[in-house]
Amino acid sequence: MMLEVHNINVCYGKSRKQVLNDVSISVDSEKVAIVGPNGSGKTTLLKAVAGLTDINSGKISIFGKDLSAIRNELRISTNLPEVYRLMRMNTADTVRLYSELKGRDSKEILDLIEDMDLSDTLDKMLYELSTGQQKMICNLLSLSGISKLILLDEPFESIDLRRRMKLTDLIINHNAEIVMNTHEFDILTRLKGWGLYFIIEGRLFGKFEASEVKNLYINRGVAPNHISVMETGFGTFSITRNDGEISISAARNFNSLLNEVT
Amino acid sequence: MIGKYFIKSMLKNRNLWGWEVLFMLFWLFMGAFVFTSGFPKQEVYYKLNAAIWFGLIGLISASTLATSISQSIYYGNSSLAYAFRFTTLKPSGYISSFMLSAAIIGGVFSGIMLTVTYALFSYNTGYMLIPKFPYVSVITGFAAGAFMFLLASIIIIVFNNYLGLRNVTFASFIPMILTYLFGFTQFNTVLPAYIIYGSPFTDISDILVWSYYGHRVPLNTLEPIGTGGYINPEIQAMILVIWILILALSSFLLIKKIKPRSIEEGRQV
Repeated sequence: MMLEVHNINVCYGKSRKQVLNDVSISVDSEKVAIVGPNGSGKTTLLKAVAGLTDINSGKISIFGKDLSAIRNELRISTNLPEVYRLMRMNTADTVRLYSELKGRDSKEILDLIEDMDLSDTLDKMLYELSTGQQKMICNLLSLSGISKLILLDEPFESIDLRRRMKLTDLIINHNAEIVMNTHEFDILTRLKGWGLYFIIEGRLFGKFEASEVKNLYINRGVAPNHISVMETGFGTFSITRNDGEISISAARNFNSLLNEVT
Repeated sequence: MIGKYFIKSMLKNRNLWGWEVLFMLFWLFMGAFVFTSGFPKQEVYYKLNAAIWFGLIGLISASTLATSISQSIYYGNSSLAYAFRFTTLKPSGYISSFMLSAAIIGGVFSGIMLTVTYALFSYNTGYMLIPKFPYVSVITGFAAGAFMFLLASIIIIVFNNYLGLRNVTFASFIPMILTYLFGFTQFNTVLPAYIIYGSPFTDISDILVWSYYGHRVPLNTLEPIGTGGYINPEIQAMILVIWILILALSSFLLIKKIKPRSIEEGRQV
């Protein structure tokens, strides 16, 4: 199994707010999208898998090895920005350093950067870049090379339409298995063969087919023909196929969907 | 491999140049031209005065490096935790590369301080106050850079992992506070011999003073030269090396367990 997350719980802060609640997910030879509103725990889940947040209970295994025991495993990469702050460097040096640390050829990333018309970012510090440029550089750093499992956190956030199209192609055509967080729905219909999970209030629901999102509906309460039931702090909802109360794909993103349904 | 990026990053850091070099040069200027009145007008006293200024400024300059290093480790805590798991970077490689880079920077800056001390104090006194063992000054600057890196890394990892990041700014200044404490007290009060030998801060400044002055530093700098005991720089060098070895081992053990923390936790306001 490439990635196995087993009943993990994560609590933050003095109030011990539960951010992930008994989350389990297995990924093997597939790509999955995790969709949820802001603050639902999407990023925390990826951070937990990348070892960037402590888990209170549960277990995470990658390539069959317990996360806590993993050292120098090069087959995983992520676009989480905090990963690329090892020292104060410009973009070009960041690319070179992380290529060396990942055992890759930096030319591959530099070519991607040029292809995305981002060559003018190379002599700038990462913190000097716009949010979209920073996101794009982190995306490209994670997508290049020999990674077998890529963790992408909101890769399209603040990215302009033209680069968004190119990035979508890059992600879809990539050989690696991908776990991608997003709160936007328009991308989902293009993800043929991808698994789909919903995450709300730190609880994961699924799995569905990403490409069938246009056939999925969300309903208040438990619909008789439901394929999944979601118990949340603001009510019980159910997902149905082909028929239901509100079409999921008609919503622009999960936040607007929840506004509509609640 | 990673060392060249550290050196490049440090050499391109304007704050480091500002505080570690320019600000120190300002104090050397003050030492040479403002705070020299009241000295017996003999070459030996002028040279001791220049050597003490060089020793103190060399020590303070290295502690400024420690502050920059602390901040670098603090801002990179998540990157380090990730890099040890998912890149080829090993804790031992990180510590040794960063230590070597800090040592090189320490050696270079020590060379700059030495040259400027010689130029300013010689110009003002009219004597050629040539440093006696300049290579020892540079080697000591090298050791001071390594020591300050190790001390800074240990302090910041302890705060990061166990004490919380609310006081991270204070933590990054601890090496500098200790530097001022030990550096200034030795030349303004009478410290017991076991502190002068045991403290790595006084070891660094005394060896720097000796390397410039060419004679052993008096145990009591408030008494006239020749009336008291002297410090043995060989013993101080040995104790400094022991400190570096102990800190290197502790730093290596601690960095393996670095916890990823949100840097927002360290926000002061």
